[in-house]
Amino acid sequence: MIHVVDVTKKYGKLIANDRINLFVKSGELALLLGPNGAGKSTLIKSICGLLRYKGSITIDGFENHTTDAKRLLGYVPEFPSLYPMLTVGEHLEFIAKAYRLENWREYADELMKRFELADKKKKLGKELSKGMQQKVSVCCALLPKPMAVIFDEPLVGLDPHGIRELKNVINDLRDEGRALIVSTHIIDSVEENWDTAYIMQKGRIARECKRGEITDEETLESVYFSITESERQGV
Amino acid sequence: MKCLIYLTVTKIKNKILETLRKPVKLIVSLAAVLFFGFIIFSALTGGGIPEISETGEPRTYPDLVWLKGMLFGIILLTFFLSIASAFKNGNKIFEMSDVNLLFVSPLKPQSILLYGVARMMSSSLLAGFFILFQGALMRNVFGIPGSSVLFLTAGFILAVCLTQILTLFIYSLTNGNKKRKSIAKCIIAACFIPMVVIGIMQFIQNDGDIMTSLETLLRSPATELIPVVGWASVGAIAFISGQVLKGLVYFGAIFMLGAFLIAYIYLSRPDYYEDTLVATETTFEKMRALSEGQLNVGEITDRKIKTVRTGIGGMGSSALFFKHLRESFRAKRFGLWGVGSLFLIGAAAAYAFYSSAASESGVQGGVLLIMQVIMWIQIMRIGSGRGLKELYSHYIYMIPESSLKKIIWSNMEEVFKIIGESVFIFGISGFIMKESPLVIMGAVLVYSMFSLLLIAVNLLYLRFTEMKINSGLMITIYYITIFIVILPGLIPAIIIGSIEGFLFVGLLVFAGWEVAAAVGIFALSKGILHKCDMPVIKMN
Repeated sequence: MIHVVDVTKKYGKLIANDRINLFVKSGELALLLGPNGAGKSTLIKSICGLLRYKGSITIDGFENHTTDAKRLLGYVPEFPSLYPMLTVGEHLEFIAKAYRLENWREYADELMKRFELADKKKKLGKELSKGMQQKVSVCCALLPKPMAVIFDEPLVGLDPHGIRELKNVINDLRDEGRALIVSTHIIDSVEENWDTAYIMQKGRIARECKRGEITDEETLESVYFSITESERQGV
Repeated sequence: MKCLIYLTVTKIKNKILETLRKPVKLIVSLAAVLFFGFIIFSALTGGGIPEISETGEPRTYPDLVWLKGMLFGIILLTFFLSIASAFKNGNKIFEMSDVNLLFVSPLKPQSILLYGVARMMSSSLLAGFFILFQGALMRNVFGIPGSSVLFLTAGFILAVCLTQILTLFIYSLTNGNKKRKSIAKCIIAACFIPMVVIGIMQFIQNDGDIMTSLETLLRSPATELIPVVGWASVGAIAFISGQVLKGLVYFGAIFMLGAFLIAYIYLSRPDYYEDTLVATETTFEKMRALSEGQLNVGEITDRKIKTVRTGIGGMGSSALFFKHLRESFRAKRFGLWGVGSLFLIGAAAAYAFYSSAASESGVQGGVLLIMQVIMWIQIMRIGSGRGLKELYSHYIYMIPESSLKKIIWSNMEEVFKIIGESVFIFGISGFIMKESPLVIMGAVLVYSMFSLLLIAVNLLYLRFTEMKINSGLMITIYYITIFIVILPGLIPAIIIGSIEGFLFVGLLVFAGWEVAAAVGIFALSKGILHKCDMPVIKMN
């Protein structure tokens, strides 16, 4: 579903992403892990078509800048960016209209209920806390029912209920056969249901790790530290 | 103190080194310096002002009291905006890095304050460019020599600097105390009461003759003696009219008051950290919100907004336009047209009113003068449109519609706003000045199409500068680009327009060029949403 081939992104002389390759199939939850500055957000923005890059990125075979690809892709950014003068309900209506969705209201209500936004439907974007904004941002990304969803640090700023609900939503999306990429620093929060973990370091994928490859003595966290800390120590 | 000098010198040194290390940046910087140098040089020198008018009669100019009135008005506006902000948020003389690193350091608070004031004053100097840019216009309208523009600029800069110090003083003195704040407000208001009273009395005495009343008021001590606003405008005009001693007294008063206020803050209450913290943190938070893609941070205020009417119209790309309408009508009382539009309409009408009454040589072409000034203003205003701001958020990129359609619908609100605004600006001022309907129509066309061209240039600019539009250097290139783009249309327009009876044709030629250039640039910007990085507003 999400196919990244030899993607390189440079900012001047700085190579933020260096020949990245990854493939996430339908019903797969891929994690993007890595220290600050490893290039995770850059890669996510490139996949979403927000940055220029060298290489190829396709969504279900469509080049990621095409309208076909955009229709299939949902994106939850690291920092929720809402419109201060639109209500919560209008954010969803805007997405519905812009994506030409039909019969969307029921699903919008379901999403708002799930994320405890139902009573805040008429609240303006500027009146919401950061956590609430993040929830609206998630609802906006999910409303078009995209086949591939990319979450960039989605748990940051959420309250415990929001974290639990988002984890449930991610699991549901995976069970429904969507391709998912989740970038996070909170490794233990996603330890339960991941399929593939891409551990990034200095703009490269230092290790691609399938769930089945991890032994009983290991955790994803221990694998992560063994890679990032051994590189740091020059091993 | 050594540490602060080191900090200042190092910052300047690093800035220079950064420029020298990047050849493109160096060339652009040099080009920017040359461009500004040219603007200043032409404002100060330029061609000689003809003493004979086009009709062969000796050319007469409005009295300098009106120039004083204009300067007074500009300073008054700056003064009130700064003071209102100071009462609300305090003073923004420090950066967040100063708060985090300097405030907690064992440096003397007094030394840090002087560092902040020096920093603030250097940024106030930039504000003076606004007056310099209008130099050629002022020379032409008032027949003053080029050097006079320097005095006007000096008066404006001094007033801006003193206002900044005053805001710090007020905030420091009131320190969140409501009673003290009320007293401070009353004292400031009291400075203006004599002017208002005399103005009303003059209006009654002159049987409602606004211009005579205004002239008398501008000459009265009640206006001249108002601290900051009156002193700066009177001082500048005194120098221009050769009254050096009077000028020195008024400018000297500004220096003295500034020194006194700094000394007071320095000596009596060095615990100003809290006073400046709120404003610094507010500014920092707004910048952070911007850098995180939060659009329209100016709308994130405590103002209560009614959400009686809700809903978004349109479908596909047009949803962007209807979303903008909903946002604008919710954010502003007059929908698309905010305070900026009303100010322009009011200022143009006031100028038209004044020129009709004050100038004996008639006001033919007065609308063109207004057009010239607001075109300058529009160069910077256009970037604040929702269409261009939309590019800083991911939504417009993710919507599954064609890039061009999204760009067009995203800027549609701005187009409607500009056309409506220009009809009011030139319609009202043109009517007052009894300008020909064709010239008014021409001005509406030139201004509206210029705005369209600016939107196109902004888009192209974003494409070729990797969307880093926020830095001062990039803004300079932006000015130069616009200057270069309009030149091929401007030259024939001036030649044709200066032929007797062909003014409207000249305006049409210019407007036509603006449309052609805008269309060409839009074509060059095709696929901008796919071929550019999403811009990020940097913190510094």
